[in-house]
Amino acid sequence: MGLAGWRPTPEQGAWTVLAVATAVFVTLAAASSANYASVVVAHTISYMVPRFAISYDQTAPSGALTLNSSINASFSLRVENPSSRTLRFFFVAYSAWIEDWPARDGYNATRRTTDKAFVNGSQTAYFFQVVAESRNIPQDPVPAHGNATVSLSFRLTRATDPSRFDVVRNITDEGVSRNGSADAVPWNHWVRLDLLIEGVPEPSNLEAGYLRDLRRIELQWGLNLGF
Amino acid sequence: MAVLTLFLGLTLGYTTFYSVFPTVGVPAVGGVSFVGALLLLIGVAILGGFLTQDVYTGTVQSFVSLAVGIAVASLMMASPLLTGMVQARADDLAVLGIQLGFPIYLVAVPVNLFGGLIGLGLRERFAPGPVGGRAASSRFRGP
Repeated sequence: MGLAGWRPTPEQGAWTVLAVATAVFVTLAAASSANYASVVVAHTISYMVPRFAISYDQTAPSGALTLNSSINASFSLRVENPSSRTLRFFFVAYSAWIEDWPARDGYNATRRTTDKAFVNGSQTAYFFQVVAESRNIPQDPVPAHGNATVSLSFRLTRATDPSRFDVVRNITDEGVSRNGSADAVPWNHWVRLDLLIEGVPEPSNLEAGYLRDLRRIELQWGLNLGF
Repeated sequence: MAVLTLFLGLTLGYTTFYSVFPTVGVPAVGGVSFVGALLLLIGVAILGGFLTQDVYTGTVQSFVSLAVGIAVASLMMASPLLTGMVQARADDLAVLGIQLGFPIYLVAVPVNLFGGLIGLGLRERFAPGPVGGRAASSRFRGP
C-alpha cells in the first residue's frame, strides 16, 4: 500500500505533531543556550586598554599656566573583543582629578572641604576634580575576535570655566615652583565605557534590570573618587 | 509516559528560559508576555493529554515534568559554564533560575493537569479507545 492511500488516525497525527514539536523545542533550546552563553562570555572576556594624556597649551616660558592657557585631557580606549559577538560603543563617562598639592601643604586648606580625600596609610592626598563628563558616543562596532578604539578629548580654558581653571592654575603653579614643571603634578583618571552587544534587543520590560545589564557591557578603569 | 513527561518538561524548561531571558533566546525578542507563555504551555498540555493513557498517568506526568522542566531551564541557564570561560557556581545559577522562573513553575502543574484533562476529553471525543492500541489502565476510568 502506498503512502497516498495512508490516512493517519487522530492519535497518529498527534504523535507526529509531538515529534515535530519536540524537534523544534530541542533546536530552540540548544540555540538559545548557545546564544545566551555567547553573550555571557562576551561580558566576561572583553576588556579595554586605556591611554590618558594631559597637556597644557600656551604656557609661560617657566611652564606655568597663563590666563590664555588651556588644559587638555584626552584618552583613547582600545577595546579587545575576543568573543564571538560584535559589540558596539554606546556610552562613556570620564573623570579626571589633579592632586591638590596646595591643599595638602596647607597653602589652600579651605579647598580640602571640596576636594576628594584619598587616604593611603598615614598619608592623605587631596584631589581636585577637573573633568566630569559623560556622553553617548557613535555606535561604531567592535568586531568579534577583534578590537576597536574610541578617543575623546576635553579642553578647559579660563573662558569655559574660570573658577575651575583658576584652581588648576594655582595647583600647577605649585608644581612649577617645586619641580619646575606643571607636568610634575599627578592626575587621577577614571573612565567607564558601556558597550552594547549586537543582536540583543532592548528589553521591553523596563523593570527587568538584569536584561538591560545583559545587553550592556560595562568596563571601568581607574579609581573613581566620586563627584 | 516517559516520552510525554520529557516532552512536557522540555517545553516547560524552554518556556521558562525564554520568559526569563527573551532578549538572548531564539528568536530574540524584547519581551515575552506571561499570557503567551501560558497559552503555549496549555497547548502542549492538551497535546500531552490527548496522548496520555488516563488521568492517573497524566497527573504523574504533570508533577514529574515540573522537575524535568526545572532541570532543563537550569541547564540552559548554566550553559555559559560549559564554555569553560565563565567562572560561577552552577548551583547559584540554578537557584537564580528557579527564582526568576518561579511564576511559570507555579502555574505549570495546574496548567498541565487542566490541559491534560482537556486533551483526554478531546481524545474521548475524536479517538476513543486506549492509546496505541494497548489496554489502558482502568484506574480513574469508568467501567
